Amino acid sequence: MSNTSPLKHSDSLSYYQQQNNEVALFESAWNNQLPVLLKGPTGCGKTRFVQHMAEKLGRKLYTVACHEDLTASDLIGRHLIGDGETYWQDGPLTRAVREGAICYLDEVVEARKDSIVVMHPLTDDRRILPIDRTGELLHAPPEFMLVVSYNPGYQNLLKGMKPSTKQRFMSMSFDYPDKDMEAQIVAKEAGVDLELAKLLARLASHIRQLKDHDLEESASTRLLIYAATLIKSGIPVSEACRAAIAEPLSDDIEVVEALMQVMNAQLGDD
Amino acid sequence: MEEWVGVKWHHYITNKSTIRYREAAVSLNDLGKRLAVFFRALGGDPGLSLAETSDYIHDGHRTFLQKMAGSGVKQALPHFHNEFFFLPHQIDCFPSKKANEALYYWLTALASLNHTPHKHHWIKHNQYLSQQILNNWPGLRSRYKTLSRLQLQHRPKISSLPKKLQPVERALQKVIADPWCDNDVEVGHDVQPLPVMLWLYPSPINTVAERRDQDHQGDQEQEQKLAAKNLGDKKYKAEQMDDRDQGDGLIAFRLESLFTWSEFLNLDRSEEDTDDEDLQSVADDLDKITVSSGKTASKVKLDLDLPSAEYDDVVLTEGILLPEWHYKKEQLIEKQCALQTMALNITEPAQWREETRKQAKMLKRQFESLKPQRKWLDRQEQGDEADLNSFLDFSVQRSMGKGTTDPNLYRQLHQTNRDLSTLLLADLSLSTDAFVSGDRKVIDVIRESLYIFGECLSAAGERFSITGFASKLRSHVRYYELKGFDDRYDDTVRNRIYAIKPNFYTRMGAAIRYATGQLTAQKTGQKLLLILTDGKPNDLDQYEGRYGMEDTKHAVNAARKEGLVPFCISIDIEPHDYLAYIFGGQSFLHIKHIEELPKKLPMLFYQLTH
Ligand SMILES: Nc1ncnc2c1ncn2[C@@H]1O[C@H](COP(=O)(O)OP(=O)(O)OP(=O)(O)O)[C@@H](O)[C@H]1O
Ligand SMILES: [Mg+2]
Repeated sequence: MSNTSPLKHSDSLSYYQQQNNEVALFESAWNNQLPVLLKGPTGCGKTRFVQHMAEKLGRKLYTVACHEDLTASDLIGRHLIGDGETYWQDGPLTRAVREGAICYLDEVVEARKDSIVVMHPLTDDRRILPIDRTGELLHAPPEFMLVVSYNPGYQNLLKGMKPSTKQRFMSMSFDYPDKDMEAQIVAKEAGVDLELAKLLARLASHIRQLKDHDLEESASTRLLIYAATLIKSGIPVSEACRAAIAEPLSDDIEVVEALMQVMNAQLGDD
Repeated sequence: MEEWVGVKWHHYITNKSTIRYREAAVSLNDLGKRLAVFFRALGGDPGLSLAETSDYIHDGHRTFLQKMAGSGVKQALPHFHNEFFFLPHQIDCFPSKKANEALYYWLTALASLNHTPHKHHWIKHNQYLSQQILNNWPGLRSRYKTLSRLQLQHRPKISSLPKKLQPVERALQKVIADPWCDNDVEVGHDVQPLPVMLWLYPSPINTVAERRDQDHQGDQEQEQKLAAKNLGDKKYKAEQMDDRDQGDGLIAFRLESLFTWSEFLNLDRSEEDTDDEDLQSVADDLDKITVSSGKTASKVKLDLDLPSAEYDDVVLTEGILLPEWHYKKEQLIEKQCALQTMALNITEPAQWREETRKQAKMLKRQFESLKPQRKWLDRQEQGDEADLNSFLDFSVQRSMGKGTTDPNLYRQLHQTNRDLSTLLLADLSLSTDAFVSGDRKVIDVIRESLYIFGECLSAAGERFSITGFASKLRSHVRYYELKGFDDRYDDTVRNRIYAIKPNFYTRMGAAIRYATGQLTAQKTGQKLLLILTDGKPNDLDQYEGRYGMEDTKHAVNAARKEGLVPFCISIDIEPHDYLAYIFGGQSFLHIKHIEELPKKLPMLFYQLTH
């Protein structure tokens, strides 16, 4: 391996609480130059995980949030004008290839199909990136890694990745951590005591039972951290939960009220 | 002695149980949805529905005298029965609205443990449930304190009770005050204390239902479903009886007791007891009538002949032949079904409910904003503006000596059309004739859903078709095109939607195959096939159970192979596993509360496609 950057010690890394064996899996994907697909619901730690791994592996991280107007040029690069001259500017994908960095395409199903195909030659054993506009052909160094993520669910049925694209990646599934682990994450991230974090995590595990039946989305770890942060800064518990958990999850007044009742049953309303 | 206790007790019951705070009444109607969400969040079985009960015969073993007086306490008491958790339709036993509301939540919390209290360990079981809830949900402790204090204020004074009742009442009050106290006393066979508002009650003892004829089990699925759906209508009065939890001869007792009860009523109003209306009122007084599956069955069968020509819809094509999958032979049998495209007999112009029109208008407005926008297309041969980016690329290439001959250097404003066609295929089989609530039927909800769906998609400028189907054996698969892809969505279409009615059975595979053909003919890149159904595929012949499911699954997979995206919206009573089996785990949505369908259908379309 031509990698020269030293691996970092874990205490200087951004915090990531491992759930299963995802760290080792990711490391061996990187060692073997395999692209990785992360699946999982919103706010369950995918972005944080990639950030953590990039630091751990000592690679720079380029993150692109995909959307439907994202074009191939947004990824690869375009010509610009400056000082009366035209010059080429690399897009994040090109830069990551040149620098042997990690390129992370978040919510990849949001991108149009024709933008996605540009990564095909990078994800098979050729590992090349042809830049049509400049005529350049880049060979990805071994340190380069492509990571994409998406949130499965029927909302993405039509958009879903084509099997031919999906099968170019090694896949890892993420979900919300169990109560104890989630409590630790919330305590650490929001800087609140473990008792409060535990209550919030328990609450979340109950609210998650409502997914698909009453709620479209689950309460994410991210929302719990928001709630904890508000509470820490002095907002009363039930107000904080309403603003950070109940309201973001539903627009239906009755459902919001029911969620508030669940919170009161857990945390008390007085 | 027996009789004396009876009289005394009766006196209590009629005095004490009538304490009502009408001005503080809270009704289940106002809280229902919140309680349901609360119930599920606390761990309540999502397969259960909340329903209201107005009366529950709380009689224990009534004495002869009580029977003579025709009393038993009629109280609305919370209990589980079949797939429902029944709550009082109204709570007004405490002096403040806040307390009565809190009581609803407390009872729902107890129920979320999914336990039916054992009839012989009623006190201890409720004690246990209370402990569990107070342990798991510390936020409820202060509320429980308030509720238990109020409940104790409304209990009889122990010394004023007949001796026989004192130990039980003492134990009850102790447990209510402190669910963690030591208690060994249990209700006896001959003493039933005054209802405890804070506790759950055992399921009512069931009368014996007619044993279902095993040979006709398959045929009866539909009727069972009808019966169950009718429960939605008169849930508390028509709790379906089943014979599962028989026990210690109590059934016999119960039957006898029901018998005496109705006998008394008959004595009282013998002369009115003749027509249907009065039978109904007797039934209401009885609290329970057995929904006999058999009766519905015969009714269904009666309706099933093809209508006489003058009332029937118009046959447009005589039989398009379609294959069917025979799973045992593992073979697609060609020309197995004949499908007729049909036009509905339209007798009256559409008249939508005010509520429906309002809902349509609101959703339509949201969908209007989804109309395809005009967009700038880059790299055009000609256009309204210069495309700076392509010009840059072009000049760079030229300076490198690689100029192209046809540089596309312009941008053009274009109406971008969505590259999507959607076909909605609705099940119009007879099962949609079941009642949802009041006099509304499943078909009414489907009708309104199709209408709102049409309004929304036409507002959004989508390319879509709305169709329906029903079948009677493989020779008659009827396919109704309410709106074709090229039809304008106008009053003609609205009137057709309004005219749909329940018909026959559900040969789903054939309908899907035909719809697949219609969609495949569309030139868009994406093709969405939405299938709306209220149950399993079935028909009068072998097309039921496994056979029907396998054929439908085969048709769904074939559609997928053609590049379609099939998606099922189920309004079956329960989200049965067969849905995932036929359509795949990610390709169906079960809508539990059917009344939400009109709103959910366009929303689902939006989620699937945006
Ligand atoms: N395992 C974990 N270890 C440490 N922090 C975590 C973990 N899981 C979640 N978090 C916290 O939750 C927050 C949200 O996680 P993150 O942004 O990584 O979610 P995501 O899966 O990328 O969501 P989205 O799909 O919405 O982008 C993070 O900022 C972090 O604070
Ligand atoms: Mg993220």
